Amino acid sequence: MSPGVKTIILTLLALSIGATVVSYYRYIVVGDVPFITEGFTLEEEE
Amino acid sequence: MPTDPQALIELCQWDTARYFIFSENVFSHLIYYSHLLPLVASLILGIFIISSNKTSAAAKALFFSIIGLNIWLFFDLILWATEIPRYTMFFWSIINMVEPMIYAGILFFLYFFIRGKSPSFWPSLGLGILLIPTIVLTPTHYALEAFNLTNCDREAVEGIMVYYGYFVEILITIWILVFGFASLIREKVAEERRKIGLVVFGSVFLLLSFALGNVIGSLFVDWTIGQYGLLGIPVFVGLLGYLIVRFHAFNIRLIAAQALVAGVWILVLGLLFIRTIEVARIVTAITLIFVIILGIALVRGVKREIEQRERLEVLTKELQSANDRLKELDQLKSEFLSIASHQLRAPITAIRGYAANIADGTYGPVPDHLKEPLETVQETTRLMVNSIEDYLNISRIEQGRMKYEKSDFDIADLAKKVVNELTPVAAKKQLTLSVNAPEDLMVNADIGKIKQVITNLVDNAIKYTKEGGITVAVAEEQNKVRVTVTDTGVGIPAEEINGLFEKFKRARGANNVNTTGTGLGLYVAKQLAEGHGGSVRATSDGAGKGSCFILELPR
Repeated sequence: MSPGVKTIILTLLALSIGATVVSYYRYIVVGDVPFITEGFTLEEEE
Repeated sequence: MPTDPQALIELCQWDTARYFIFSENVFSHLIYYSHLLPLVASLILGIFIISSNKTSAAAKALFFSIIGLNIWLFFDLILWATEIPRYTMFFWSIINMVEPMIYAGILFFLYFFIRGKSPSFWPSLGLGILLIPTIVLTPTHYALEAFNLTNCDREAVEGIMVYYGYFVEILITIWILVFGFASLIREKVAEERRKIGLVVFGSVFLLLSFALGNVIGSLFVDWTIGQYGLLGIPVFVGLLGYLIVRFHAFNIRLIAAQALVAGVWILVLGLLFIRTIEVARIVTAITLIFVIILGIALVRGVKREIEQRERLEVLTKELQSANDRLKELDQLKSEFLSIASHQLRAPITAIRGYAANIADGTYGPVPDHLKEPLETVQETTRLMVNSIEDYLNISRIEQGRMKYEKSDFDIADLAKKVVNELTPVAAKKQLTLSVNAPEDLMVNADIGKIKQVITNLVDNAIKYTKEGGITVAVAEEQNKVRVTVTDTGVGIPAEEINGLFEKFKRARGANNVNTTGTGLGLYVAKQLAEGHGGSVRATSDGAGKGSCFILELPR
């Protein structure tokens, strides 16, 4: 494998780890989850 | 109706997590089997593959893809089983990021397996650029817009980037198919074509079995059927692993045996946790198929191994018998050589003696017109005696009955005698033959054998020198005596020096210079020197630059 291809793969892996950390921080740590509640109904009631 | 999401979640009355993050909200227990079995089986296979092929780039790429598949399977299971919205959002975002990377991993695996190298830089860069948005936009609303609580659903609303991810996956699949077909068309060897066909088939079906849940679920709104597709993952991972080991000459039988045992353990263990008879039947059926397929492969492997061993035993016996016969023939040949040489030596010695007496004038003056034929008789008989001596020595060495009758003698004097004997031969070719030796250099050796060695070396030098001369030097060095025979002859190419001392071996083109050589003189010289704990070696600056033969003996 050429050094150029190796660099591309390592860059993608590094970006994936970064994106995972940010996603974890946003959803799990901060709890920043937008909800769609419009037209909420309970299935049992239908 | 409250509008606060937390209040709405409470209204939904979801069961809370009982096992870590798994709750009872799953739509069917089937998802545990459809996810955990492929996960464990493919992980075990992946570890087997990478541990059997640590240096193989194809194995590394497949292992990377398997790890991606495992992350996807485990996180997908959490999506089905958790009731916590923030977990759903996080794991959902990650599986969307990992999915196209699994496709890219399989593409690289195919390149490594078929071509032995990765895609070149520019296509790899193009693929990398295509993948970047699916990665960097993972935590944003382009990947997941919101968590849908309508009708108490527990699902994320996917953004545009997810569809872009599907687009990238389709592109990579097309790339795989085009690459696979191109490789198939280009390959002319039937065995290689079969290999390429199988690996492309296995890769595409691995990706299909993995995407089946999404495809069938989306098309038919039946998520149950899609779950069974995931069970195909270990089958195709197994096929690809088999191909790697099969075509890289690793021990597939051992891997099949290990995979069979591990698979049966896991599947039987899984039966303990099943509540309903229907699911038990499914898992039993999977176990049965698994045991049948790998069991057949294993039995066939063992059968083939036994057949090979039996064939080897027969071949070994035949070889042993042929070897015994060859040894017997070799012994007979050596005995024949010994007898023939003895029978020849006596009359030749007589001819040589009488020719010398005639030349000396013992039987009266020799007429001038007979002097030249007489010299030819003497020279020819000398060569014959020398050759017979070599044959006799060879048969003695090979029969292990060579005896050395050692005594103390002056090797400088011996060298001078050899030079004196061969001076007429050198003079006939208009070559100079000189000796440079000190007085009284005593060694303890078999004088007859050492004379044969020096004669062979000097004789050899005369044969392969067209003009110039030969110098014999005798010197003492530490605990050794060194006899050096230097000539201005045809020289020896570097690559041929080591082979010179083999039996019947002559330098390339030797026949152009001398036709009387047998290729035995140097072999005998080396054997006799080594028999005394000494050595013979040759040096040369190359063809046409002369050569130097060195005899060393311990003092």
